[in-house]
Amino acid sequence: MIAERHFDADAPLLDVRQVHVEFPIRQGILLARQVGAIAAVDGISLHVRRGETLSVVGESGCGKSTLARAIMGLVKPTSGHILFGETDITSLSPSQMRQLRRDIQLVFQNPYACLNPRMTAYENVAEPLRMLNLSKEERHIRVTKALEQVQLLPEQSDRYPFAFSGGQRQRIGIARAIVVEPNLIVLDEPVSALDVSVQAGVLNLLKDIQSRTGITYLFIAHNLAVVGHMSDRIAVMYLGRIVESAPRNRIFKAAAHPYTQALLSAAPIPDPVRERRRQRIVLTGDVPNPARRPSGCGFRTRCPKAQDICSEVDPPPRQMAPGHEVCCHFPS
Amino acid sequence: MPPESVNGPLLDVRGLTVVVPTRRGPREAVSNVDFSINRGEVIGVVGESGSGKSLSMQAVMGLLPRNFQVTGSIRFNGEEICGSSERRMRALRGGRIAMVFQDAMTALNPVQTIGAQIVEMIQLHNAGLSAGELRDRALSLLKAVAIPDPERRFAQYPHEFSGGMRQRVVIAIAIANDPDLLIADEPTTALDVTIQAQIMEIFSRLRSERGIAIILITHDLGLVAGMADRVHVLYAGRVVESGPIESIFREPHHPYTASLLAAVPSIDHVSERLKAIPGTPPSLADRASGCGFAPRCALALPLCATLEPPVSRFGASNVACHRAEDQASLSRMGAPT
Repeated sequence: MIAERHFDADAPLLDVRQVHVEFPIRQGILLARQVGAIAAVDGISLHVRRGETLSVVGESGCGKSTLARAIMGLVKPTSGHILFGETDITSLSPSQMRQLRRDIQLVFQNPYACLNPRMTAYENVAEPLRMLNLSKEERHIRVTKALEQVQLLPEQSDRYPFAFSGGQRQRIGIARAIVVEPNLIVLDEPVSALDVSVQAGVLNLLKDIQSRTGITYLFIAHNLAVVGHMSDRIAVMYLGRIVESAPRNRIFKAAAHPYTQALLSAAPIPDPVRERRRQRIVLTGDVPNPARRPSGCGFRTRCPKAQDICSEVDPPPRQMAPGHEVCCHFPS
Repeated sequence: MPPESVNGPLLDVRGLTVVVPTRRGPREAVSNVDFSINRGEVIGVVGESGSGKSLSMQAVMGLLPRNFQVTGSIRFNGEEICGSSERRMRALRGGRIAMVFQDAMTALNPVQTIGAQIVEMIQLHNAGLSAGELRDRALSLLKAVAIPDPERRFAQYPHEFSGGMRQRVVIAIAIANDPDLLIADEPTTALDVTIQAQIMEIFSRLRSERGIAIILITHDLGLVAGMADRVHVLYAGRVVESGPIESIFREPHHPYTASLLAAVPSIDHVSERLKAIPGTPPSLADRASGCGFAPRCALALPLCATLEPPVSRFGASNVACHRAEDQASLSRMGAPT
């Protein structure tokens, strides 16, 4: 029994270890010299198990998309390791990376921008298969199956992207990702550009695909309410770091970090009576410039609970419950 | 509760119809829309993309191209403004009626400082103020929308502002001349939830401190829950349900309203599955006779596909649905659709 626990099935599919992604700030025109660095991702560790959904939630500028791009091999981490199964993504050559991409796919926020406007829906979905050397018949079977999974009618597959609504376009984007049968899909804000009524359909679809194929999702979003019904676990990001991570229900019922609490409090409740009675924590100001990270805890400049210690000591992660970690001096 | 106005509503729109030219001939995009708003009141206009919500507001503001046919009655402060001269409309816009759009970056001029843009707006409607007076008023506007360090921000350009800060600047410009009515078209859609909460707080302060009436246009029913007094739900160019916010949320009479409500993801009951609305809204070209929602409606009868439901009154709400009573009893039982 004990030996089995170290077996593959339990090992995470994706293991991000102490990853830093820094972008240099240069000044001067001819002999531009580096005058500083923006730590977009500032020492992040997380893991995603096979078949589960981990959501990474944070405001714009918190580094969540940079993290996604590092996992896709689109930016190189300054330091740290990203293990996908047994392979360390950070040490792969571009051609090895291309091989691996069939296993990791990305769904973007703006489905219109990621589809080729001069290709039909069918051709758009078939395009990623070019790297797989399939026969014509195999390709046709795969594309038809992918379109079927995203509930697009066969007669619609000859249309061009402009003829589809936002929700349908996002379905084509999802079909494009699942057609190569990857193990992991990184969903970068897949529904934030869609109407609420359409969002629900796309989220349900993603969930159905997962229960049918056992695929693993890394879901990146800024709205906790949206990730709620999708996620097994949720990690909350602020200024390049994870400030709290926990199983989904703990985040919703026992959030311990003031930032997570503020995010929850900012989400509107669709009930006029309770919404009016509610005491809101409204954060003041914006996320600070990551080039000038505040000393100590990065959140202290907006935190309603901040004390002297918060500007002096960076809070280390502490465990609130199994699987529930929080970086705060005054968790509640 | 909204203060009752002495001489009727601030804005009263009756039978607003907008016919837009398409490649296949003219099509009715907004059909016979009625709504009104009192002084200091906040109403929500809710609908999916393509429901005609932005189009009807642009019609009110007189912002539609000449080849769009606008008919009906639009009375602002008792004055009929539908078909008014461009000169008259220009005096109203930015003066008594102001508008905030979704995309704050495109609403601002990238090569002018924020201060200059606010000052320009004040000057347009108040000739003869001195430079000092203009600057003071602009600074107090920046303070009103909670922009920290207004003196420094005054001299900065739009690119130096974050998305949330830009939207505040746009609101500051909109309220520069103390309008009676502010039309906000998806003002927070592009923003993070935390910033959305800040912007909504600014709106509710504008209402309570300056008595500005606000029309909030959104696709998210959840967003209007905390602020609006009344809600109008638009579908395929028609108002399918309207009423006080409590009755819309507690007891929706139209199946579309009920499905919209059920689709909102909420942080207080996280469910395994969301209720999606099957299908898509009809395109302008294939709006058929009968109820526009019938093809997607779980309660539809054969009658719904042929006969357009008339607007009837149920309790405090006006509903255009053949099955309003059945939907209401389903709503009371707590089942969405």
